[in-house]
Amino acid sequence: MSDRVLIRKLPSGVPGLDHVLGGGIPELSFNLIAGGPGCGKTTLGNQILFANATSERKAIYFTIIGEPPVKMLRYQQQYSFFDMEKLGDAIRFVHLGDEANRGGLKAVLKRIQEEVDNTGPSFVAVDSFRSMFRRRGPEGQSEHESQDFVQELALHLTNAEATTFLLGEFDEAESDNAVFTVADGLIWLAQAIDRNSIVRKVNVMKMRGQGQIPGLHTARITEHGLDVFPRLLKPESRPAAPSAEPPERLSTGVHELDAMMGGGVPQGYSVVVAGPSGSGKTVLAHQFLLDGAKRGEMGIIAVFEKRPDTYLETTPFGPEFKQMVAEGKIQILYVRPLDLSIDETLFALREAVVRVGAKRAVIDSLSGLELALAPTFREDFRESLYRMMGALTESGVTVVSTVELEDDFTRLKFSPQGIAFLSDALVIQRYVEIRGELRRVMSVVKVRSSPHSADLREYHVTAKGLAVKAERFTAYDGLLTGAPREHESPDDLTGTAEPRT
Amino acid sequence: MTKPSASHLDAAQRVLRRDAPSGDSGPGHAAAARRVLERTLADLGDVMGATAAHALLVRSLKLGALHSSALAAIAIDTPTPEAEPLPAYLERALAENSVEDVTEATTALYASWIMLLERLLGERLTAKLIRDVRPADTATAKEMK
Repeated sequence: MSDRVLIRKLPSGVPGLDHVLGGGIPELSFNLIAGGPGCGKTTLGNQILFANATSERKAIYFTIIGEPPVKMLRYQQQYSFFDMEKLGDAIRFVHLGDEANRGGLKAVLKRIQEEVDNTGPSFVAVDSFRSMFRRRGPEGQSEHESQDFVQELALHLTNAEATTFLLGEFDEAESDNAVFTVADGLIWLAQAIDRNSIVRKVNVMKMRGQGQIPGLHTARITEHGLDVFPRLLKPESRPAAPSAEPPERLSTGVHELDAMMGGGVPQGYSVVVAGPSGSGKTVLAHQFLLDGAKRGEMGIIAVFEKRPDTYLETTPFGPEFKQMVAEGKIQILYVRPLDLSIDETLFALREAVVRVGAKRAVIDSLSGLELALAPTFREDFRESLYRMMGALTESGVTVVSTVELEDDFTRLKFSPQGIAFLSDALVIQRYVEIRGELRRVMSVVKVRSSPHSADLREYHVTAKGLAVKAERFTAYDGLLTGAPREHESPDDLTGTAEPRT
Repeated sequence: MTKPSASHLDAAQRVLRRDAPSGDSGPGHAAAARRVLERTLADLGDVMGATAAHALLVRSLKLGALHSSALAAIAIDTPTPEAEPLPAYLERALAENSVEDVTEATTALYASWIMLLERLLGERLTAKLIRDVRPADTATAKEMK
């Protein structure tokens, strides 16, 4: 016999929210869904009830004052969770506006108690109870009476074995309100405004008896209702690869580059390919995916700047790439290009990785991702990216990310905003001016825990992909400074530099 | 938008016929219509509140008056529910008319009500809310019993 009561956790019906809640909604709990107008309280309330109500475990959704029920039903039925078949039998909507107008809190409480006693619902929502407190009813109820109302309601509904949700408009300055003390769970919804963007946030401030994930989590309202994207926690540091068993290497699809990297990309590494516009970053990323697809390794590519059909036109491997996409060996993820959060992007990537069993992933590009993010997330882009890369590579996926690099010949830059440190391997591509001609060079700057070439190699972007010269670019010095000097006797400088580690 | 369709009229006739007396008495038909309206008001009031349900009925009265001279004659100066419940007022106002006029008026009124609800809430939800609207032998109606 257990000496502790087992609290069942009910699904919220909101993707991602159960994880944030610490497993779900505790059965028989008395919860407050709070937030400002338009933040999704009613949608969340409906979503939870529709996810749980059945003929055997009924739900009542009480509306009091606020959004007229006709409007609420009109709009809520647009969401996919609004199952008409549940109406009437599993879920009843009861409006208490007349009771509130004529009898105030007492009349509302009495009717709720009657309905609950008569129906015995397992789930109850009261929307919006807060608006009753803001107006003075016929009895001119005080704040004290309002608290009594909540206390009595909580007591009655808990005794009636109903899991309850009170929906109300609160602002954060009211966080000391007594109702927060009574509630077992407190889910706060908010809309953060930054410049022209609005980002929805969910904060589970309290959930008695279980450990919720703290902090503000991004949310989005779609045709399916509310979606929550749990905030990424910092990845645990990965154990160093055992020296006896070096990680499997994946080919980039460019033989010479593989050799420069010491035999390809170690599996589970995050590779950043940085270079200016037109330098062939995307071409290299596509070669990486195509090479995997030919070996039966599934791949995904997340694009932000162009829609998939347009994007496919940009690759020199058009027909081959399209064929792989058609066969499902490569999947293109077009992530909505406005007001994204890193968590949302990661969710889409992770979901795709699991769905297709991807071994290779490409993010094309980090610059595009940054632009697609809501301004509020751009501020901590580096940290967010760090968490995202950690989460992706922890699952064993090898990630190649492209990043736009503005050529700046006055100083050597490996990546914008110093994001090079995020990568396990870094490949840079640059333009150099030789005798009035722009030519391309690339170098492997780092491959963590692996020897690699330090060469600057000239390469060309061809219809078959990157063609990297087998020898180091030896005819000039100072290629990266913008003022290369030609050697009098280039033959003196041929040869291979010592590999770096 | 302001004219009920044939299916609205058909549904209204079906609902009203269920309560209609067999005789040719105008007052009898008006009383039967009152019962139907009261029942529908109760169904709707439960979900959207009595005030909102009443407001929709008043609007339906105005829309129905465009298609029924008997209804047009009484649609002016409708009372508030506090003064006299609208179904009772309609029964009193229609009772002096012929059976044909009462039938035409109540059908126009009820069909407008269904039309308005469907416009606001869609067909399926309206059928869920007004239990009498769908034919008794359909699956939807059976589910609601």
